[in-house]
Amino acid sequence: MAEASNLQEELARQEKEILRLRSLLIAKDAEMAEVKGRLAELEHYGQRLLVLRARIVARVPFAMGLARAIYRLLPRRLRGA
Amino acid sequence: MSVPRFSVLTPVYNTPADVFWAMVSSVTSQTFPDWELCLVDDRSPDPEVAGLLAEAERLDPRIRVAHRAENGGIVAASNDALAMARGEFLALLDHDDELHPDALAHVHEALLADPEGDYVYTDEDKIDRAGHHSGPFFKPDWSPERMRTQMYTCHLSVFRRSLVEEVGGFDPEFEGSQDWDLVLRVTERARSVLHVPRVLYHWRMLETSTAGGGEVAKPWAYEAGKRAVQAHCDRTGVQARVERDPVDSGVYHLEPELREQPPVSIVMPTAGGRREVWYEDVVLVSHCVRSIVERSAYEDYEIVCVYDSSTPGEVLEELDGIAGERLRLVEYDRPFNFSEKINVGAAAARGEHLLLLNDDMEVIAPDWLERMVMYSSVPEIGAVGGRLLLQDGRLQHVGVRMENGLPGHPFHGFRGDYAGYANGVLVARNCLAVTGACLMSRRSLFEEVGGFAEELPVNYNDVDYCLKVRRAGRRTVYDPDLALYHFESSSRSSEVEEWEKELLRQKWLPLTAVDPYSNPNLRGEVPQLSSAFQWAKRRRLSGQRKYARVPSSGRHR
Repeated sequence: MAEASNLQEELARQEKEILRLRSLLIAKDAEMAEVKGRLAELEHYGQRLLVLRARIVARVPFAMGLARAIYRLLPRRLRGA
Repeated sequence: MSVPRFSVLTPVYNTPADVFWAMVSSVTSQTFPDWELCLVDDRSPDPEVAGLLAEAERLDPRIRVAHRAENGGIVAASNDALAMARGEFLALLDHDDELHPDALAHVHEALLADPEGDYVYTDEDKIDRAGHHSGPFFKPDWSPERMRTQMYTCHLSVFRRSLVEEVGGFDPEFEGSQDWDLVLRVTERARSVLHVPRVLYHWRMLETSTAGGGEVAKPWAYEAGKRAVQAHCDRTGVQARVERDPVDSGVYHLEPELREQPPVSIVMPTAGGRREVWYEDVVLVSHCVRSIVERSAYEDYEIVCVYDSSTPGEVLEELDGIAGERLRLVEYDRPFNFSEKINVGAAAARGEHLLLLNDDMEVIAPDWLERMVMYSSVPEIGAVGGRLLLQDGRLQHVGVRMENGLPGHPFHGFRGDYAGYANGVLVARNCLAVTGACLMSRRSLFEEVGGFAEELPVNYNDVDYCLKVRRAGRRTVYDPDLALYHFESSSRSSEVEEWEKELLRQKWLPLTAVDPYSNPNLRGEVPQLSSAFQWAKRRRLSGQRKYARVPSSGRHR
């Protein structure tokens, strides 16, 4: 009887621990969702920039090479290095 | 003297000389010449103002000036300007703002295209004291539901004078939001409302203006806005109480206040599937039904579960245990066809309103059914949907946006509190379609338009339904305050077949080629980069303003 009672207690304790860990996981998911959501926004804007880049390259084939060359010529502090 | 096409109404009060002349010259330089400018000085204490007005009157015979004997506020001065006006249409221009040189020309063009236009509005931007432009607001076409939760038409607003006189002009009860109130009262009677998707008005940001100072500058204006929308709801039979957003002063919410609770049938197709939800293995339909039963405050509803023959018996028993007398089980024994399952459920339903609900949903707020019925009870509204969230709280659905004839879910996966362009996610608004995962419609309308199209067994049947609703002259509404969890893609595959796309295009183009609730200057519901470049270009070419060339709007009732 005592053994069964101990087992019951242990099960209840385990159950409580599982619920606690589950709540923690859900809270972490919500935190991660903030970051994922922000990432989705940035990707959305990034895609728009890629479309713009493609348009510029289509019109001025050497535009990106030129931009890179100008960037290299900039002083380090202006490049944000 | 002949009647001018436009009377520009401008109440004047202590206007600084530089912005006054900028305002006046923006009118005198209009490319459309048939206008008069009605300036009413609201007894400005600044003695310089009288001189400015006298000089303006001498400048052009089309400029007319009146002086109030005592200060009466914006409504009194606007009503005096209205009494002076002789034009067929009234354009409202604040004393420190500017019109684009082609503003009246474009409005005139829109009115020629639709002679029944009683109210016209355009896109706008902001301008600082130095004349730099920023913050363009690219608006949707006429969206009555948005107008109740955000004063989005704002500037430039042009009204048919006879209609303004018919509704009694500006109402002093709504001082500060008198323009919002006027738009609501005029559009309640307007035969047609037109939108010109071009930035034709420049709203000056000064510390004393709403554009610059927001609620700090004119706190009473926001309270007046609330009262104006409440009065509109009371007049039009929308059973709601208007509340202000606690964070964003320009956003309002409709809280349902139903006089009665018509019976609602929740039609829920299911196959009794399981999946992990918040780290727990659940039977989706049981999880969903439990959330409905435990959280809904609404009393008169039934749940019609249309179950596949393969659904395990213990799931049906569990459902019975959860929902009891509210539950009605309808067996479906044919090959999978979502539309047919919905139609079978609708045929068995007894409610006045049908709520089509996927089984992989979870109810959040107790007033969710009241909220849907509030909109669904409005005769002009045909379909109602809400803001659906993924299980981690990110956005799953905020209304469908059509592009080139195909639907898209803007802002999918963005943060749950993402406001969208111009608060578009936070305000109730019209859209061409909402997802069938959670869609309410009156049963009579559902039957009138022939229910869901069974030739679309998996995808797009919801979009097709909303478009049929639109063809029947009813609007579809997205309500952000109606939030539910949607454990996406649990119910069925999200893959769309090519033939489904083709069929949708065949059925609904050209109606769906351009989404009227978006704007030609938006892409993915944010301003196109090309329009941003137009802005930069315009700043360089001061005096020769260039704007994105976009097609003129259609007609909207």
